[in-house]
Amino acid sequence: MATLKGGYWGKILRVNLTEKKWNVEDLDPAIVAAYIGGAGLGIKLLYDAVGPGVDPLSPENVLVITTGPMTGTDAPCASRMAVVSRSPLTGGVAMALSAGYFPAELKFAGYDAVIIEGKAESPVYLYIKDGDVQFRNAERLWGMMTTDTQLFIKEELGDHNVRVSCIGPAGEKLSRIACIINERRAAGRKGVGAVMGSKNLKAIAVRATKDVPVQDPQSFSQILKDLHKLMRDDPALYPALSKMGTSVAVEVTSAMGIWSAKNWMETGVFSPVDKLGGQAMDAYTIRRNPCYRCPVACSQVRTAKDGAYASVLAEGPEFETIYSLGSNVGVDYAPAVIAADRLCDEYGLDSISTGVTIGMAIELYERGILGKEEVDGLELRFGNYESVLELIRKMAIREGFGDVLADGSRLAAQRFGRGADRYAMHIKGLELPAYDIRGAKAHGLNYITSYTGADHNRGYAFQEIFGVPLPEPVDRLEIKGKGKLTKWNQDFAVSCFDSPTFCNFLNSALAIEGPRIIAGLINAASGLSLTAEDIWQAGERIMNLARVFNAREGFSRADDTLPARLMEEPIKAGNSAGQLISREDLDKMLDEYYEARGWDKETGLPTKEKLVELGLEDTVEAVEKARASLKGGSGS
Amino acid sequence: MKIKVEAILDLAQLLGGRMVEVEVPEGSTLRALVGSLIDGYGEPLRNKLIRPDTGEPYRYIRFMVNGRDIIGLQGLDTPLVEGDTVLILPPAAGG
Ligand code: SF4
Repeated sequence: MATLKGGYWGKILRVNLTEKKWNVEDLDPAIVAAYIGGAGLGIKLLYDAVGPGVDPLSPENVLVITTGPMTGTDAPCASRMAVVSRSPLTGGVAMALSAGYFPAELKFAGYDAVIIEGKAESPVYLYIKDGDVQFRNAERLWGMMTTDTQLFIKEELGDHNVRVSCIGPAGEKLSRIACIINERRAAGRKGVGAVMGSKNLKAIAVRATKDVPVQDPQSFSQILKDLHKLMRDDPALYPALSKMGTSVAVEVTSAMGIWSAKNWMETGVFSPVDKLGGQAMDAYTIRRNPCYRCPVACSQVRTAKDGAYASVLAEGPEFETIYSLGSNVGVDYAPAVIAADRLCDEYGLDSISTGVTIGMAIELYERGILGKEEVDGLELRFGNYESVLELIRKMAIREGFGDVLADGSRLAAQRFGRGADRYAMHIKGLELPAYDIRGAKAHGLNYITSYTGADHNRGYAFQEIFGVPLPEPVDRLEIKGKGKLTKWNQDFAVSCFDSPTFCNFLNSALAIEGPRIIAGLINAASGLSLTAEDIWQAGERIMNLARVFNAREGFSRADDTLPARLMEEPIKAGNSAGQLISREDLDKMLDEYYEARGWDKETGLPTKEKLVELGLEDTVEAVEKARASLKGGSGS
Repeated sequence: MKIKVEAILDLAQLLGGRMVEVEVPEGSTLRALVGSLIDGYGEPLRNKLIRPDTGEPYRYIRFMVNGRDIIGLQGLDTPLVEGDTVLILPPAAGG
């Protein structure tokens, strides 16, 4: 097998917090050829490190951080890292991506992956200085919010160019919806912040100076020219996304009648686009803050000039947060959404899961299922943003009623009982993102089958949401064809974005040329000789390995489902009125999806033939055991 | 017959609102509606919607009739009836 001549370092940093030891291991080129990097590499390392049944919050779980072959190179929109672990929220694979500057800095340190094992005896942070690693006392940082943590570490290290990725109080308190923050960006979802907290790891600080080598710079920059041209010519990136950021999706989804509201009761009814849409939010924007080497610069820094939340600044809120802490909790006051977004970032809570969990609590209170004494006397009503902000604080520090909500909607509903689970809007434990999937069926099927739970970005149906007619135009309300499309979108997302790593917003720009361009760039950087077909197959391989990891934990077809509300209650008004995903529709889509994937329809698990075809022979035994146990066989 | 036309962002600005009502002859298709919108709103709207070389709408402009993508109907030849809602969306990304 070829050696890696660039793009990758071919090195893994393994850190054991229990023993306060670290060592560097070689990364097998065959592994990167098969799993690319980023999400794919992270899932492979997780699969090999964590066997079935490991408690996600125990020292036996690992936190894997990976960059990709494009991270830290001249490629645009590639400063991203995947944080991979067993999720304390879903029990399956956690894979959360963050961007900004930290991922590039980590790459400059000379590692493709960091595997963090064990648990420190007392709070520590890691300082990675070029190749070297120090374990530093973080007792004084424990309890600190994320911006202060970053500043404190920079000051302590006497270097303001250090980049820091850290948890806030929510991660320390093992909230299963805690995130990891670098700068003002989040590896947001699936509770990766709790895993970090469970290891007594407050932060990772990096300062590094190595240039990522590229073995054939001429070919590399030639292909980058093609990529830049595709980006410039993409009408989806410029002007809308570049100018208004992701909040432009408020305008699009509310016009389509799929901007979810009030815990998914009032999609199409409560649709305050005039107050929370991209154009309205523009009034609060003070500057843009692009990720490292990004010409699009979607990220908007916003603050209100007056009112109760004047001068509270947030990077965002992104479309998802405008939903979760806006429309979903009945709030249409933009400054309150900005403040709630900031608060979540500071405490280190995932803003989607937080807002959706609060939305459930409000509905339960309004229905009389929860009494006032149970909610600490708060006036929990849709639209009452003061209660929302107070609940964020309580959740982050696990105070009173906040303690019950701090582990997300599924566990909170279980604790409430009284039929509360009907109002918990999650799939596999992960709270639903903004798009009301009753009116976007492939987007829905992606939520339903994603290896991470309800995750919009692991197979984003940009054909349905933004009408991009690539690889071909689709009817968002049609059921037929959505199994195949979802497989395509998922393999595309993991092979062309989550693994190399590139920003998902390039999806329409790369919808046709993506695998060819990615293969070309990786080859020019590393000296590997991958084809576009290899990239596609790597995507499929990664999706299958993630499925196998989840199968070992007991996941199957039965878990590929959605909240009863979305199967029984149609959208009430707007351009998607009357839509739902009936159980029959769900079954039809799943059958088609499993068929497209080569998975058996009964259990939803990969067939032996598919695993062998993808070179995953090693996983066959685990899958057959899971299958036997589902079919009531031995499986012990 | 009256048709409701909905649009967003710069398209809404050109139409003077996110929802306008237009009058087209009975039996008109979506194509006829688009033609009459362009007649009414002029060059700026034409430039947003129509490729100068083909005279057809840009493929990234999205049309829905009563919430249904026209790919699931009869494309631009979809017949309209009184009270229909036509949604026209410009390209965007994000989320
Ligand atoms: S488009 Fe936005 S999220 Fe993507 S790399 Fe650029 S600034 Fe970052």
